[in-house]
Amino acid sequence: MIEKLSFAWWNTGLSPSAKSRADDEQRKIAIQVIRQLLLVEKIDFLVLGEIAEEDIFAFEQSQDLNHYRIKSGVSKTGRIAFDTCFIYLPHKIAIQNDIVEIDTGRSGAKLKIAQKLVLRAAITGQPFYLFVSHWASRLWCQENDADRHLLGIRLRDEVDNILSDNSDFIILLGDYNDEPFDDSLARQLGATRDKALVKRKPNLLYNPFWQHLTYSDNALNYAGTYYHKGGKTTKWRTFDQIIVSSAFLNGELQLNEIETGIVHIPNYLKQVKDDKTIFDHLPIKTTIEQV
Amino acid sequence: MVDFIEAFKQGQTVAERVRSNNQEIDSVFERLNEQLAEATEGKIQLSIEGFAGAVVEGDEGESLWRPSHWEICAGNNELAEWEKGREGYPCKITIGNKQHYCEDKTELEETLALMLQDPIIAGVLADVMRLSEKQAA
Repeated sequence: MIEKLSFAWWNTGLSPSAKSRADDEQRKIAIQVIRQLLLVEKIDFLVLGEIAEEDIFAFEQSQDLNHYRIKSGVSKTGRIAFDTCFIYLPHKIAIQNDIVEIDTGRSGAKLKIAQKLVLRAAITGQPFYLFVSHWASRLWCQENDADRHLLGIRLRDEVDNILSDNSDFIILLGDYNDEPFDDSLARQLGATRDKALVKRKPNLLYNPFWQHLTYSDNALNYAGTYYHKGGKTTKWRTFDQIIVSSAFLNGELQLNEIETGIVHIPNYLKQVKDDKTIFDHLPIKTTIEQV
Repeated sequence: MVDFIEAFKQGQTVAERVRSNNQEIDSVFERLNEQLAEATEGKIQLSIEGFAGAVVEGDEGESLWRPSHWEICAGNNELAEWEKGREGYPCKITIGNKQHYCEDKTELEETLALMLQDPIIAGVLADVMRLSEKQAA
Protein backbone atom coordinates (compact mmCIF):
# COMPACT_ATOMS: atom_id res chain seq x y z
CA MET A 1 0.00 0.00 0.00
CA ILE A 2 1.29 3.45 -0.90
CA GLU A 3 1.73 5.64 2.14
CA LYS A 4 0.10 9.02 1.60
CA LEU A 5 -0.19 12.28 3.42
CA SER A 6 -2.72 14.93 2.45
CA PHE A 7 -2.85 18.62 3.25
CA ALA A 8 -5.63 21.12 2.66
CA TRP A 9 -6.19 24.84 3.02
CA TRP A 10 -9.48 26.66 3.27
CA ASN A 11 -10.04 30.35 3.84
CA THR A 12 -13.31 30.03 5.75
CA GLY A 13 -14.36 33.70 5.68
CA LEU A 14 -15.75 33.24 9.22
CA SER A 15 -13.54 35.75 11.03
CA PRO A 16 -11.23 37.99 8.98
CA SER A 17 -8.27 39.18 11.09
CA ALA A 18 -9.61 36.92 13.88
CA LYS A 19 -12.67 39.17 14.38
CA SER A 20 -15.70 36.92 14.55
CA ARG A 21 -18.54 37.82 12.19
CA ALA A 22 -20.24 34.44 11.67
CA ASP A 23 -23.60 33.44 13.10
CA ASP A 24 -24.45 29.90 14.23
CA GLU A 25 -25.90 28.94 10.84
CA GLN A 26 -22.72 30.04 9.04
CA ARG A 27 -20.55 28.13 11.53
CA LYS A 28 -22.69 25.04 10.86
CA ILE A 29 -21.98 25.36 7.13
CA ALA A 30 -18.26 25.73 7.91
CA ILE A 31 -18.32 22.59 10.06
CA GLN A 32 -20.01 20.68 7.22
CA VAL A 33 -17.21 21.74 4.86
CA ILE A 34 -14.58 20.75 7.45
CA ARG A 35 -16.24 17.34 7.89
CA GLN A 36 -16.28 16.87 4.13
CA LEU A 37 -12.56 17.67 3.95
CA LEU A 38 -11.53 15.48 6.87
CA LEU A 39 -13.94 12.55 6.68
CA VAL A 40 -14.69 12.28 2.95
CA GLU A 41 -11.57 13.76 1.33
CA LYS A 42 -9.47 12.10 4.08
CA ILE A 43 -7.29 15.14 4.70
CA ASP A 44 -4.61 14.47 7.31
CA PHE A 45 -3.60 18.08 7.96
CA LEU A 46 -6.14 20.85 7.42
CA VAL A 47 -5.24 24.52 7.71
CA LEU A 48 -8.07 27.02 8.10
CA GLY A 49 -7.89 30.77 7.58
CA GLU A 50 -10.03 33.69 8.85
CA ILE A 51 -10.70 31.98 12.15
CA ALA A 52 -11.32 33.39 15.64
CA GLU A 53 -11.08 31.56 18.96
CA GLU A 54 -14.93 31.35 19.06
CA ASP A 55 -14.87 29.35 15.82
CA ILE A 56 -12.27 26.95 17.22
CA PHE A 57 -14.45 26.43 20.29
CA ALA A 58 -17.36 25.51 17.98
CA PHE A 59 -15.18 23.03 16.06
CA GLU A 60 -14.07 21.41 19.32
CA GLN A 61 -17.71 20.67 20.19
CA SER A 62 -18.12 18.61 17.02
CA GLN A 63 -18.18 14.99 18.25
CA ASP A 64 -17.04 13.34 15.02
CA LEU A 65 -13.78 15.33 15.08
CA ASN A 66 -12.79 13.80 18.45
CA HIS A 67 -9.81 11.90 17.14
CA TYR A 68 -8.39 14.99 15.42
CA ARG A 69 -6.18 17.46 17.21
CA ILE A 70 -7.21 21.10 16.89
CA LYS A 71 -4.54 23.74 17.40
CA SER A 72 -5.14 27.46 17.32
CA GLY A 73 -2.93 29.71 15.21
CA VAL A 74 -4.84 32.82 16.27
CA SER A 75 -2.49 35.50 17.53
CA LYS A 76 -2.34 39.28 17.69
CA THR A 77 0.76 41.44 18.07
CA GLY A 78 0.44 45.18 17.56
CA ARG A 79 -1.31 45.70 14.22
CA ILE A 80 -0.69 42.13 13.03
CA ALA A 81 -3.37 39.45 13.49
CA PHE A 82 -2.85 35.84 12.45
CA ASP A 83 -6.19 34.04 12.07
CA THR A 84 -5.48 30.36 11.44
CA CYS A 85 -6.30 26.98 12.91
CA PHE A 86 -4.83 23.53 12.32
CA ILE A 87 -6.86 20.30 12.47
CA TYR A 88 -4.86 17.11 12.03
CA LEU A 89 -4.49 13.41 12.77
CA PRO A 90 -1.80 13.25 15.47
CA HIS A 91 -0.85 9.63 14.74
CA LYS A 92 0.04 10.59 11.15
CA ILE A 93 1.62 14.00 11.61
CA ALA A 94 2.74 16.15 14.53
CA ILE A 95 3.59 19.81 14.99
CA GLN A 96 7.06 20.01 16.51
CA ASN A 97 7.59 23.69 17.22
CA ASP A 98 5.97 26.78 18.62
CA ILE A 99 4.37 28.31 15.55
CA VAL A 100 6.75 31.00 14.28
CA GLU A 101 5.04 34.19 13.13
CA ILE A 102 6.82 36.24 10.48
CA ASP A 103 5.96 39.78 9.46
CA THR A 104 7.60 42.75 7.82
CA GLY A 105 7.13 46.49 8.04
CA ARG A 106 7.96 49.39 5.76
CA SER A 107 6.98 53.05 5.95
CA GLY A 108 4.49 52.42 8.72
CA ALA A 109 2.71 49.54 6.94
CA LYS A 110 2.82 46.11 8.57
CA LEU A 111 2.48 42.99 6.43
CA LYS A 112 2.02 39.37 7.43
CA ILE A 113 4.42 37.07 5.61
CA ALA A 114 3.68 33.61 7.02
CA GLN A 115 3.42 31.31 9.98
CA LYS A 116 6.12 28.64 9.97
CA LEU A 117 5.55 25.15 11.36
CA VAL A 118 7.94 22.25 11.66
CA LEU A 119 6.06 18.97 11.15
CA ARG A 120 7.06 15.36 11.69
CA ALA A 121 5.18 12.77 9.64
CA ALA A 122 4.99 9.07 10.45
CA ILE A 123 5.81 8.11 6.84
CA THR A 124 9.27 9.71 6.90
CA GLY A 125 11.90 10.52 9.46
CA GLN A 126 12.59 13.87 7.86
CA PRO A 127 11.00 17.09 9.08
CA PHE A 128 8.57 19.01 6.90
CA TYR A 129 8.46 22.77 6.92
CA LEU A 130 5.09 24.38 6.37
CA PHE A 131 4.62 28.08 5.60
CA VAL A 132 1.03 29.27 5.92
CA SER A 133 0.36 32.67 4.39
CA HIS A 134 -2.58 34.99 4.16
CA TRP A 135 -1.23 38.04 2.38
CA ALA A 136 -2.84 41.46 2.39
CA SER A 137 -6.04 41.97 0.45
CA ARG A 138 -5.81 43.91 -2.81
CA LEU A 139 -8.19 46.41 -1.22
CA TRP A 140 -5.33 47.58 1.04
CA CYS A 141 -2.31 46.61 -1.05
CA GLN A 142 -2.95 46.87 -4.78
CA GLU A 143 -2.05 44.39 -7.48
CA ASN A 144 1.68 44.72 -8.36
CA ASP A 145 2.30 47.14 -5.47
CA ALA A 146 5.94 47.13 -4.32
CA ASP A 147 4.78 45.72 -0.98
CA ARG A 148 3.43 42.63 -2.74
CA HIS A 149 6.90 42.08 -4.24
CA LEU A 150 8.35 42.53 -0.76
CA LEU A 151 6.07 39.76 0.56
CA GLY A 152 7.46 37.39 -2.07
CA ILE A 153 11.06 38.44 -1.37
CA ARG A 154 10.80 37.92 2.38
CA LEU A 155 9.00 34.58 2.04
CA ARG A 156 11.79 33.52 -0.32
CA ASP A 157 14.36 34.61 2.32
CA GLU A 158 12.66 32.30 4.80
CA VAL A 159 12.70 29.39 2.32
CA ASP A 160 16.39 30.05 1.64
CA ASN A 161 17.11 29.94 5.38
CA ILE A 162 15.93 26.31 5.33
CA LEU A 163 17.09 25.04 1.95
CA SER A 164 20.57 23.64 2.39
CA ASP A 165 21.13 21.10 -0.37
CA ASN A 166 17.63 21.40 -1.89
CA SER A 167 16.55 18.14 -0.24
CA ASP A 168 14.33 19.82 2.33
CA PHE A 169 10.58 19.17 2.27
CA ILE A 170 8.88 22.55 2.25
CA ILE A 171 5.18 23.18 1.63
CA LEU A 172 3.84 26.71 1.24
CA LEU A 173 0.10 27.20 1.24
CA GLY A 174 -2.52 29.82 1.83
CA ASP A 175 -4.40 32.73 0.34
CA TYR A 176 -1.82 34.99 -1.27
CA ASN A 177 -4.33 37.43 -2.76
CA ASP A 178 -2.08 37.07 -5.80
CA GLU A 179 -2.33 34.54 -8.60
CA PRO A 180 0.35 32.07 -9.74
CA PHE A 181 1.43 34.40 -12.57
CA ASP A 182 1.86 37.49 -10.39
CA ASP A 183 5.47 38.59 -9.90
CA SER A 184 5.35 38.25 -6.10
CA LEU A 185 4.94 34.48 -6.48
CA ALA A 186 6.37 33.65 -9.91
CA ARG A 187 9.48 35.84 -9.79
CA GLN A 188 10.20 36.89 -6.20
CA LEU A 189 9.28 33.60 -4.53
CA GLY A 190 10.44 31.59 -7.54
CA ALA A 191 7.31 29.41 -7.75
CA THR A 192 7.13 28.17 -11.32
CA ARG A 193 4.77 26.10 -13.50
CA ASP A 194 7.73 24.35 -15.13
CA LYS A 195 8.26 21.05 -13.32
CA ALA A 196 11.07 20.00 -15.66
CA LEU A 197 12.94 23.21 -14.85
CA VAL A 198 12.47 22.67 -11.10
CA LYS A 199 14.06 19.24 -11.49
CA ARG A 200 17.09 20.87 -13.15
CA LYS A 201 17.18 23.96 -10.91
CA PRO A 202 16.11 22.60 -7.53
CA ASN A 203 16.25 25.97 -5.77
CA LEU A 204 13.04 26.85 -7.65
CA LEU A 205 9.67 25.95 -6.14
CA TYR A 206 6.88 24.14 -8.01
CA ASN A 207 3.40 25.65 -8.10
CA PRO A 208 0.83 23.10 -9.32
CA PHE A 209 -1.93 25.72 -9.14
CA TRP A 210 -0.95 27.09 -12.54
CA GLN A 211 -3.21 24.24 -13.70
CA HIS A 212 -6.21 25.70 -11.88
CA LEU A 213 -6.67 29.07 -13.54
CA THR A 214 -9.61 28.14 -15.77
CA TYR A 215 -12.77 26.05 -15.82
CA SER A 216 -11.82 22.39 -15.60
CA ASP A 217 -14.90 21.00 -17.37
CA ASN A 218 -17.94 21.93 -19.42
CA ALA A 219 -20.09 22.33 -16.34
CA LEU A 220 -18.39 25.71 -15.79
CA ASN A 221 -18.59 25.35 -12.03
CA TYR A 222 -15.50 27.30 -11.02
CA ALA A 223 -12.37 28.75 -12.64
CA GLY A 224 -10.26 29.47 -9.59
CA THR A 225 -10.50 29.39 -5.81
CA TYR A 226 -11.88 32.83 -4.98
CA TYR A 227 -15.19 34.13 -6.26
CA HIS A 228 -14.99 37.87 -6.77
CA LYS A 229 -18.58 38.97 -7.04
CA GLY A 230 -17.72 42.34 -8.60
CA GLY A 231 -15.11 41.08 -11.09
CA LYS A 232 -15.44 42.84 -14.45
CA THR A 233 -13.41 40.56 -16.72
CA THR A 234 -13.35 37.48 -14.47
CA LYS A 235 -15.24 36.60 -11.35
CA TRP A 236 -12.72 33.88 -10.44
CA ARG A 237 -9.19 34.26 -9.09
CA THR A 238 -6.73 31.56 -8.07
CA PHE A 239 -5.56 33.25 -4.88
CA ASP A 240 -5.36 30.03 -2.85
CA GLN A 241 -2.39 27.87 -3.72
CA ILE A 242 -0.16 25.08 -2.46
CA ILE A 243 3.48 25.33 -3.55
CA VAL A 244 6.19 22.73 -2.89
CA SER A 245 9.97 22.55 -2.82
CA SER A 246 11.83 20.52 -5.43
CA ALA A 247 12.38 17.68 -2.93
CA PHE A 248 8.75 16.68 -3.63
CA LEU A 249 9.66 16.10 -7.27
CA ASN A 250 13.02 14.43 -6.68
CA GLY A 251 12.94 12.86 -3.22
CA GLU A 252 11.54 9.88 -1.33
CA LEU A 253 8.20 11.69 -1.07
CA GLN A 254 6.51 12.83 -4.26
CA LEU A 255 3.71 15.21 -5.06
CA ASN A 256 0.62 13.45 -6.43
CA GLU A 257 -0.75 15.97 -8.91
CA ILE A 258 -3.94 14.03 -9.61
CA GLU A 259 -4.84 14.48 -5.95
CA THR A 260 -3.81 18.14 -5.92
CA GLY A 261 -6.23 20.93 -6.73
CA ILE A 262 -9.51 22.58 -5.84
CA VAL A 263 -11.94 20.59 -3.73
CA HIS A 264 -15.43 20.61 -5.25
CA ILE A 265 -18.16 20.46 -2.63
CA PRO A 266 -21.39 20.94 -4.65
CA ASN A 267 -23.62 22.42 -1.92
CA TYR A 268 -20.85 24.70 -0.74
CA LEU A 269 -20.16 26.06 -4.25
CA LYS A 270 -23.68 27.57 -4.18
CA GLN A 271 -22.74 29.43 -1.01
CA VAL A 272 -19.58 30.83 -2.61
CA LYS A 273 -21.48 32.13 -5.64
CA ASP A 274 -24.23 33.65 -3.51
CA ASP A 275 -23.63 37.40 -3.00
CA LYS A 276 -25.31 37.35 0.40
CA THR A 277 -23.05 34.86 2.19
CA ILE A 278 -19.70 35.37 3.94
CA PHE A 279 -18.16 32.46 2.00
CA ASP A 280 -16.04 33.33 -1.04
CA HIS A 281 -13.15 30.82 -1.16
CA LEU A 282 -13.08 27.16 -2.23
CA PRO A 283 -10.84 24.73 -0.34
CA ILE A 284 -7.69 23.31 -1.99
CA LYS A 285 -5.71 20.16 -1.28
CA THR A 286 -2.56 18.27 -2.11
CA THR A 287 -1.34 14.74 -1.54
CA ILE A 288 2.20 13.54 -1.21
CA GLU A 289 3.16 9.90 -1.27
CA GLN A 290 6.09 7.66 -0.59
CA VAL A 291 7.79 6.24 -3.69
CA MET B 1 33.34 44.39 -22.32
CA VAL B 2 32.47 44.80 -18.68
CA ASP B 3 32.46 48.46 -17.63
CA PHE B 4 34.53 48.27 -14.42
CA ILE B 5 34.40 52.03 -13.88
CA GLU B 6 30.61 51.95 -13.81
CA ALA B 7 30.65 48.86 -11.54
CA PHE B 8 33.03 50.64 -9.17
CA LYS B 9 30.83 53.76 -9.09
CA GLN B 10 27.76 51.65 -8.34
CA GLY B 11 29.64 49.87 -5.57
CA GLN B 12 30.61 53.18 -4.00
CA THR B 13 26.99 54.35 -4.08
CA VAL B 14 25.96 51.14 -2.28
CA ALA B 15 28.79 51.57 0.23
CA GLU B 16 27.53 55.09 1.00
CA ARG B 17 23.99 53.77 1.48
CA VAL B 18 25.28 51.02 3.80
CA ARG B 19 27.25 53.60 5.84
CA SER B 20 24.19 55.84 6.11
CA ASN B 21 21.89 52.90 7.06
CA ASN B 22 24.30 51.68 9.72
CA GLN B 23 24.59 55.18 11.18
CA GLU B 24 20.81 55.42 11.28
CA ILE B 25 20.47 52.02 12.99
CA ASP B 26 23.13 52.98 15.55
CA SER B 27 21.32 56.26 16.20
CA VAL B 28 18.07 54.38 16.97
CA PHE B 29 19.85 52.27 19.60
CA GLU B 30 21.57 55.35 21.01
CA ARG B 31 18.24 57.12 21.44
CA LEU B 32 16.68 53.96 22.90
CA ASN B 33 19.48 53.74 25.45
CA GLU B 34 19.25 57.44 26.30
CA GLN B 35 15.54 57.10 27.03
CA LEU B 36 16.00 53.84 28.96
CA ALA B 37 18.75 55.46 31.04
CA GLU B 38 16.41 58.36 31.81
CA ALA B 39 13.49 56.06 32.72
CA THR B 40 15.56 53.69 34.90
CA GLU B 41 18.15 56.09 36.35
CA GLY B 42 20.84 54.36 34.29
CA LYS B 43 20.03 50.84 35.44
CA ILE B 44 19.31 49.45 31.97
CA GLN B 45 21.49 49.68 28.89
CA LEU B 46 20.92 47.53 25.82
CA SER B 47 23.67 46.22 23.59
CA ILE B 48 24.05 43.85 20.64
CA GLU B 49 26.25 40.87 21.45
CA GLY B 50 27.53 37.93 19.39
CA PHE B 51 26.96 34.34 20.58
CA ALA B 52 27.83 30.70 19.95
CA GLY B 53 30.52 31.44 17.44
CA ALA B 54 33.57 29.58 16.23
CA VAL B 55 37.25 30.50 16.25
CA VAL B 56 38.55 30.89 12.69
CA GLU B 57 42.03 31.60 11.39
CA GLY B 58 42.69 35.15 10.19
CA ASP B 59 44.79 36.19 7.18
CA GLU B 60 47.97 36.28 9.25
CA GLY B 61 47.33 33.09 11.19
CA GLU B 62 45.76 34.88 14.14
CA SER B 63 42.67 33.48 15.89
CA LEU B 64 39.45 35.36 15.19
CA TRP B 65 36.15 34.71 16.91
CA ARG B 66 33.12 34.78 14.59
CA PRO B 67 29.71 34.76 16.28
CA SER B 68 27.02 32.58 14.70
CA HIS B 69 24.18 34.77 15.87
CA TRP B 70 23.54 38.08 17.58
CA GLU B 71 21.24 39.04 20.42
CA ILE B 72 19.92 42.29 21.83
CA CYS B 73 21.00 42.06 25.47
CA ALA B 74 20.50 43.84 28.77
CA GLY B 75 23.72 43.01 30.60
CA ASN B 76 24.01 39.20 30.45
CA ASN B 77 20.34 38.72 29.58
CA GLU B 78 19.44 37.86 25.99
CA LEU B 79 16.23 39.64 25.05
CA ALA B 80 15.75 39.13 21.31
CA GLU B 81 17.65 37.69 18.37
CA TRP B 82 19.14 40.30 16.07
CA GLU B 83 20.13 40.04 12.40
CA LYS B 84 21.25 42.87 10.18
CA GLY B 85 21.08 42.75 6.38
CA ARG B 86 24.19 43.29 4.24
CA GLU B 87 22.98 46.80 3.46
CA GLY B 88 21.95 47.50 7.06
CA TYR B 89 18.26 46.98 6.34
CA PRO B 90 16.30 44.85 6.68
CA CYS B 91 17.03 44.19 10.33
CA LYS B 92 15.34 41.09 11.69
CA ILE B 93 14.35 41.02 15.35
CA THR B 94 13.02 37.75 16.77
CA ILE B 95 11.02 38.17 19.96
CA GLY B 96 10.03 34.74 21.28
CA ASN B 97 8.30 33.03 18.35
CA LYS B 98 7.73 36.26 16.40
CA GLN B 99 10.09 37.31 13.62
CA HIS B 100 9.86 40.93 12.57
CA TYR B 101 11.61 42.22 9.47
CA CYS B 102 12.25 45.97 9.77
CA GLU B 103 12.71 47.51 6.34
CA ASP B 104 13.39 51.05 7.60
CA LYS B 105 13.97 53.23 10.65
CA THR B 106 10.26 53.64 11.49
CA GLU B 107 9.77 49.87 11.65
CA LEU B 108 12.97 49.35 13.63
CA GLU B 109 11.75 51.85 16.23
CA GLU B 110 8.28 50.28 16.35
CA THR B 111 9.69 46.77 16.73
CA LEU B 112 12.05 47.81 19.53
CA ALA B 113 9.04 49.39 21.26
CA LEU B 114 7.16 46.08 20.83
CA MET B 115 10.16 44.31 22.35
CA LEU B 116 10.00 46.51 25.46
CA GLN B 117 6.26 45.74 25.76
CA ASP B 118 6.69 41.96 25.45
CA PRO B 119 5.60 40.42 28.78
CA ILE B 120 8.61 38.12 29.16
CA ILE B 121 11.16 40.76 28.16
CA ALA B 122 9.50 43.34 30.41
CA GLY B 123 9.86 40.82 33.26
CA VAL B 124 13.56 40.32 32.51
CA LEU B 125 14.10 44.08 32.49
CA ALA B 126 12.27 44.38 35.82
CA ASP B 127 14.64 41.74 37.25
CA VAL B 128 17.66 43.63 35.89
CA MET B 129 16.45 46.81 37.61
CA ARG B 130 15.82 45.02 40.92
CA LEU B 131 19.27 43.42 40.82
CA SER B 132 20.85 46.77 40.09
CA GLU B 133 18.98 48.36 43.04
CA LYS B 134 20.07 45.51 45.35
CA GLN B 135 23.70 45.90 44.31
CA ALA B 136 23.51 49.64 44.88
CA ALA B 137 21.99 49.20 48.38
